[in-house]
Amino acid sequence: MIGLACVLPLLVGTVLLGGGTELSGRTATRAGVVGALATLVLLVIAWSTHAVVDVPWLPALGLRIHLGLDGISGPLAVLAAAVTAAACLTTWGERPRGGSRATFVGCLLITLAGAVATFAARDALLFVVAFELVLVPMWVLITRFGDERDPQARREAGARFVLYTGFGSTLMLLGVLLLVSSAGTADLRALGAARGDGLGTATQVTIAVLLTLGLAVKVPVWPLHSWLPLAHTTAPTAGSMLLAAVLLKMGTYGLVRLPLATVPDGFATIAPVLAVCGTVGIIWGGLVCLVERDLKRLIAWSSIAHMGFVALALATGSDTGVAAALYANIAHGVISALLFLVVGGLKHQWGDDDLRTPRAALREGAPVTGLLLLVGLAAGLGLPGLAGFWGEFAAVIAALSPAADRPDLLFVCCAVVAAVGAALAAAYSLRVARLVWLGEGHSADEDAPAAELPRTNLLAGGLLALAVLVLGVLPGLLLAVTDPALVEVVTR
Amino acid sequence: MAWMLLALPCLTAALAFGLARRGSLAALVAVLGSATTLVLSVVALAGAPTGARGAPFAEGQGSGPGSTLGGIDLTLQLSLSTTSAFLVLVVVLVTLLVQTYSAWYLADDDRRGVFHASIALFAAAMLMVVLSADLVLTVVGWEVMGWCSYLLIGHWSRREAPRRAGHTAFIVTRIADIGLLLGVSVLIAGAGTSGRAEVIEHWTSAAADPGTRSVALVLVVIGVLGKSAQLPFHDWLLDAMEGPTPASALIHAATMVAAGTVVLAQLLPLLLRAEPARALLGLSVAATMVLAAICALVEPDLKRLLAWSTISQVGVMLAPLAAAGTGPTAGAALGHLYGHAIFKALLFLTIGWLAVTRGSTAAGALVGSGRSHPVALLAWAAGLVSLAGIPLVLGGLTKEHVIAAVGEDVGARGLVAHLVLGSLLVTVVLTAAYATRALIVVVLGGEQRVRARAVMPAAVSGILVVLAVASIVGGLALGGRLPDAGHVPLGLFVLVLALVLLGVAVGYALSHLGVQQRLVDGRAGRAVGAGLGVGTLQHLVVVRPVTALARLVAFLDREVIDTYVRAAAWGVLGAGDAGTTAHRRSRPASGLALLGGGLLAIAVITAIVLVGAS
Repeated sequence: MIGLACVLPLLVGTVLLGGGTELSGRTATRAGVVGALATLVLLVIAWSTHAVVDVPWLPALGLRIHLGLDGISGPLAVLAAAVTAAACLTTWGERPRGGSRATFVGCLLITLAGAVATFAARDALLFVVAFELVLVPMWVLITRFGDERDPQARREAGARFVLYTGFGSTLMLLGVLLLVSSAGTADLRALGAARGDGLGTATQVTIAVLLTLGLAVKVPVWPLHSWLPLAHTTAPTAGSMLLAAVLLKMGTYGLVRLPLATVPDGFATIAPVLAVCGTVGIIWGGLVCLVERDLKRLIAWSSIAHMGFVALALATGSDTGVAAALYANIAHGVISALLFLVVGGLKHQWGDDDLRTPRAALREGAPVTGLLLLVGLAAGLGLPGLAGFWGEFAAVIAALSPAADRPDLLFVCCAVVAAVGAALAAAYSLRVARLVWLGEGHSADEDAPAAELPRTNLLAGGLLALAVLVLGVLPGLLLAVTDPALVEVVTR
Repeated sequence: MAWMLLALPCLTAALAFGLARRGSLAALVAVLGSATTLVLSVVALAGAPTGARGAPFAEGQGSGPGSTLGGIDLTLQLSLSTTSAFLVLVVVLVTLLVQTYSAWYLADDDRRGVFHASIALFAAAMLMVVLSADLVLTVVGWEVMGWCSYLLIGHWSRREAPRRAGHTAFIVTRIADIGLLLGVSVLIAGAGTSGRAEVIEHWTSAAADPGTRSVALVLVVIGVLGKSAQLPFHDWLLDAMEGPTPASALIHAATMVAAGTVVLAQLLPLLLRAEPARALLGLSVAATMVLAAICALVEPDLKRLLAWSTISQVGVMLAPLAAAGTGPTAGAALGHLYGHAIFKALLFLTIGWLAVTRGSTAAGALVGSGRSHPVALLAWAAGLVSLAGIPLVLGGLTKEHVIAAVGEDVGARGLVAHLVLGSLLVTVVLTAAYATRALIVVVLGGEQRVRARAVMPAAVSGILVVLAVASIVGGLALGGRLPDAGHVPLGLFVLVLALVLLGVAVGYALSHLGVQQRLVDGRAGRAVGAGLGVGTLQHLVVVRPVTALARLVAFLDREVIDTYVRAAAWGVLGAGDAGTTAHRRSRPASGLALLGGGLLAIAVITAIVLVGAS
């Protein structure tokens, strides 16, 4: 079942790619949505029945196809499938420019296949392979279907995305190889259960540094973040949604599964650095958001700030921290998908996304779009009752009581700074709300009132907003799922 | 029961929001929902258990969906006691009246449905704070309330001023909330659970570090000062007057500004053990209550006068928490919360009607307006009598309790307690003076006879009469429902009466001699009208530096961090070009160079890995 869940989107994606211009756009969108939803159903069944696939793939290299979902990877895989379905849905009303729609949707589905395989992989090498698979369709999405105004910038963004994250992946590959060769197994569960037993301190630290550096590029953790704003500015709406809700999650998931679980002592040594970088990212991202001029870029920067909370929570190494990080991870996935959907749609509508141009108030002309934007912004600033609050509040609590082998004072300072960052989030979210939702500086009779996004986008956005609300009101649902699985990655 | 009390207003909000496009239907749903909640809260009050002594909020008897977040126990419980049920009743009563009033006040507003929904959600958030037996739930209610205030204050978002006011209100309280969030986090992280009963037990035990406890409580107090609009955070509440008047009534009366009092009363056992936190609270409220009362005396706009009065009265409300002994602290504070809620709601709703008849809230425009309708006259007078603290009426009774609680063996409690007591007594005089001023302007002022009788809908006059009666005789409801507020000795009673009379005399003399008018029109009035320039100060001290820092960070990111990345990308592309060129030439030397370079790279990486592995 879990194997099928990985293969299905790959298959549908390949067919769509092969179909190219032969297929009509509508068929492509339908196939994409149905494919992603079917994957979602398969994932839920596989997850609830604990389905596992374990077959040798390349015995010479010791590479196995070993797939299975647990309480940590399950929610992420489901999120990826759901967001992909939403992203496919947006192509109905917002025709991709620069190529056929079938190619576009095919790339989305192949990204999903890679992401599901990444989350389900129980073999360290398979994890790396799946992790890399995602780069290719994403590169196509950025360079071929990106912002049509500036082909040069599109190419540069695509190149930088691939080079930068490819560089990170190389480091990660080195780390994984070193880990597998020194521990003697590539089974992630066995590695996690061993907790790095039998590895010397120096080895542990080297592995942890390589893995953390490599994955931090993907997360991204400050100061390795520069690829993200550029990629988001250029990527099409659906691409941005996947980038934020799926690709970044693979980075944080990797951090939990690899350095944190397999080399805890090594990770503990570098955790203070990660915590400081995460905290700097929170403030850095928040401050840039206060002066950023491009709306989509601003949301990308806010992602960096939110991922700072996740990095900080992971660095604490306590079970509270990991639970917080996982919650914040899922929450950010849903929230950023919602925000990019709305913001990308607006950019499409406006033709550009410069915030210095006064815009007609969404509240007046397009109340539904406005509501979706407002829900996204409120969740982004950590309003309780919406998804963003629990993970980030818990991250602060975790930083105030880190695991025993962490320097207390440093983490307390990080907690204080992170709390200040939460206020910055309010400042930039309200800045966007005032400019776009309330139409600051735009006189009512100047020109046409704001228009709603296409219906399909509103439907996808509405479902995401509902998910934001449910995750915010009933945190117990997700916590109950995650909690039993924590024992696999952290000492309780 | 507690969850029902919370669910009902949430449901009302959802329904009203769903029906938002059909404004009058949404209003009907909102009013009916609040009425049902009111009935339910009366039932709840009748059946609620009395909290144990020292724990009037009955934390121990909560119910809720427990959950764990890693190593932290999230109890997420609500609890119901006589005290919390009584506060719920006050909140729900004010909400019902405000909902009904808004149905009239915003009858022509195309977004009234959303307004009703926001009011219902706002009330639900306040109920959550009151009923919460869990620190996380307290934070949830607290923040949601802040968000609703943003929506309510900025309701008329087609105009610039409400947009700015809503923005300021949210940002200022959010900055103060950094303190609350951190303080609560420290408490939860130390106790390993978010249940208030367990948190209090942990932090009052011998194992708790007193220093950390004090720091946590100081942080919580900072959050409370922000939400309660005390110095130095008072500015947002004045700007908030840009919101619709019913929203102001709700924010000022039973919710938002009073939430801090409830939270500190809930955390009282910890607060009493954290002297620095009490000292900070004491200094702030002592300064705030006097300053705000003076400002109310010279404020040119009557609605803003009420706002200044709220700031001052919330200071009075917090005074026992800052400076009273262990006995009557919570009772006195919560009692004044109740009294203030009733008379301040009355005053706001009355001035809302008066302003509709005259088209402005400026004192100059409202001169003599009270005489246009007997109910308005009665309501305005009753509210002001209660505000001034004439003994035996509700406001007077609760104020005397506060003074008695702070005054009780004040000698044993140091300098700050003395300061707070002194400020309280001065505030009594000033409050009576500005109440007299407000009465004279609206009721006596104006030479011309008011002929036209303005129309007042039956619902509005009903609301005003209910609140006016409650403002006078509401003290009868106090009884044993709130914790013991102490008793008022005869000497104090006489003293307060004398001070109030002095204040009335001062107020009368000021207007009679014309000094009042000169003050209001002069430089003092202008300064107060501009909020004492605190907004400008905040702009200078917070907004400008943060923006400058943000520009610096954006510059650094673009010019420093990004440079490496660009350089790397160029480097790779350049190397690629060089490789292509070399390949084209296909000379043995270039082939050798490529091979050598590749080998070198492999060797370096292998060496790094080997060093790491050993």
